[in-house]
Amino acid sequence: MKVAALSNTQLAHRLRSEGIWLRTGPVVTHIQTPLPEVAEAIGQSYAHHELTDPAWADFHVRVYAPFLRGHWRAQSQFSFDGYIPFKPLPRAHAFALLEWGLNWCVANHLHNHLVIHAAALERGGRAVVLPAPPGSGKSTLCAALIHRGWRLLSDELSLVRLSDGRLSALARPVNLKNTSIGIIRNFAPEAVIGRETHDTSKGTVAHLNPPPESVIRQDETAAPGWVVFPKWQAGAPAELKARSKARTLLHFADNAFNYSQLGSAGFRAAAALIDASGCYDFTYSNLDEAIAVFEQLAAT
Amino acid sequence: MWRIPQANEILLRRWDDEWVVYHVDSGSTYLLNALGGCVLQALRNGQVGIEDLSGQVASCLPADEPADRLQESIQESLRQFMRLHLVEACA
Repeated sequence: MKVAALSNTQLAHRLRSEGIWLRTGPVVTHIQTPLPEVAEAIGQSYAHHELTDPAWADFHVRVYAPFLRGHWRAQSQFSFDGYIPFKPLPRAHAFALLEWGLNWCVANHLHNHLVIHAAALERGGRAVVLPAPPGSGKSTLCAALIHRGWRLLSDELSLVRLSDGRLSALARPVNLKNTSIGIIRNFAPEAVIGRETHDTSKGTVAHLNPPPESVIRQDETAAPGWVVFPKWQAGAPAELKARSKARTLLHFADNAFNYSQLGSAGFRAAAALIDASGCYDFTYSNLDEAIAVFEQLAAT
Repeated sequence: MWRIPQANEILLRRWDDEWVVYHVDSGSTYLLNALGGCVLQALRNGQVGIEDLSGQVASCLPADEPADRLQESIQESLRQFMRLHLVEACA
């Protein structure tokens, strides 16, 4: 059964009672929340995701309004198996907190994958991994590509399966920030973007729904194809430049969440990903030009 | 004679003229130039004296380097690798 099969009232009731068991790619998360605004956002952002039997969950999470003595403002808190990894945030940030919390769960616990801080998309069976620091335009580019024929694997966490080196999908919402929200509204008017949350630690954020096809195909893994480091630069033409593979591996060593924990398996997975991928730096300023370059890349 | 310590496992990968070594014991990853990569590659086959090492490294390197300068560079690489516990001197 998909989330959309439940009415808003049914979903909110489930979430505040036994919870839902939500499957995102290889991960099943048991989510509970008494907060109606979080239930509404889950209903919108995860409409096409499957609910599974409550027999098993990788993670048990809750988002709730804690009672905190001395705090007059409404707060929201995230817990994971009863453990509270983050400080509470304003109540208005509750859904963003859930999304960050889910990222944290995957990044810190999914050790049958090398988890790289990067977006990942698929075209023609091959994946492009987009690692980049905040502010580089990674999520904007990712959001644009998924509205021009690329399948969303993940916006934040590239999952390289240790058993065979293929990339797994999460197909969760894309976290748009600040000006990128308006840019994507204009670029893809059909995009479904949730409510804007202001004054978070990352500025204003809004979550873009994963395209239904990406969710339906979330069990399809992809072979590594390319690693592209995007950088938005005012006025720059869209241009790919070959990048050192050895330095790309060092980047993964520094930016994969569980590289250290995985030991030699992490090194081997990163090296195999790089072996099988063309590695590039990519500068761009215009999304249409960027899409054209990615079209050419997919045709190679 | 030089060698990679027996208890030390290293994983070595080469792309073009750059190498990356993963030191399993410490979990550290290092970027190496062609010379450093060729030195470790040669030592993976067992203990090697500096003369043999020079020969093996010379055939591994992409460009010819004068023999006297090469030996000096290899010794400097070995000193650095020793500080990182990647290699050790042996009898």
